Amino acid sequence: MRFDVENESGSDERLTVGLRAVAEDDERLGASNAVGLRLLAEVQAIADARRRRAMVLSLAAAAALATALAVPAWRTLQSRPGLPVAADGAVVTRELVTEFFPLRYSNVPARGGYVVRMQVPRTALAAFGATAPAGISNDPNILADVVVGDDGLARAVRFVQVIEEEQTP
Amino acid sequence: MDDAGLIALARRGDAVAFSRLFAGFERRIFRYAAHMCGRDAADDVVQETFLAVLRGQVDYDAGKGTVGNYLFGIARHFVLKRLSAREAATFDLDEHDERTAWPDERPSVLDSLSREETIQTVRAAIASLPAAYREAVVLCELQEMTYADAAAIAHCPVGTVRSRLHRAKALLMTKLSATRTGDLVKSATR
Repeated sequence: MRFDVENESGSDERLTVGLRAVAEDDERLGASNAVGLRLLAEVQAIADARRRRAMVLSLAAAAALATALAVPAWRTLQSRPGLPVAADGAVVTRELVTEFFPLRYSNVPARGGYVVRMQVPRTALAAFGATAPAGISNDPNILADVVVGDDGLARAVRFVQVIEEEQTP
Repeated sequence: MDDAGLIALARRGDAVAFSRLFAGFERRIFRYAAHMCGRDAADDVVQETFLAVLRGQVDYDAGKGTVGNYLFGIARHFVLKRLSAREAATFDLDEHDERTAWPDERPSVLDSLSREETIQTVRAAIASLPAAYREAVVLCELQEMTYADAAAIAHCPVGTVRSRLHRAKALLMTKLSATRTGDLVKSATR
């Protein structure tokens, strides 16, 4: 790329003066007030939008905090002792019982009687003339319902096994 | 607070920060746009430039230059959109190996003009330049930017800016030497 630069200095000086004059004259030029106002409105809109977002976020945070506090409190109240619980995994008990077996004084008439549940040594049952059937726990102690006449004599006995089971949903 | 900080705050809705940023660059961008595509469009270019900044359409990267270059780069984008295809094509003239001669030493029209007439005549001569040369004159002469800054804004090598400016001045001298004032002003406003 080549340029002819003859006479450049003299011409350039006059041109430079002319360009400086234009540049100085340009100093008075600028965007209209309407542009500035329009842009300030945009800035204000941005600020408003940010405030709205901040408010929504604050409300959401407050709601989350309230939920975080309320749920454990509700659970605590629900699991307070004495209140009925119907929760999954609760342990339930049921009884496996035999028939009543007659004892030595079963033929003695009685006007009434009652059932007494007692835990007795397995060996003691022999004294009543009874033995626990198969399927009943082999524990040394055994649970038994004894029918006692109003005369205090035992008339019959049944054996009880309490079974604890975890309830499945 | 530096200009990059002002941009960040303005984008968050800080009116004071925006006002400082706007006041710092609005006039220079308006003048650039006014020379490149006319005063009527210059307001729109300024508005679109700062809206693009506020809306984060173009992120500022301090590693790529100053905030001024960043703003002028955005403004230039909107200026180019307003140029006719013929004018925009002048930015591709750099590849041409054309000789640009300085005019012979002749009485310049500037010698006999008042200051106001000089301003009017030179302004008209600038407006009549091809867009690429006009841009070089506006950035380097009227805005007094360095070649490096002008090159960063125009997305071209520094050498290209220098050659465009040289050609632009030669063309201006030719116009100012050979044309009567009234003719130049009329041709520029046609």
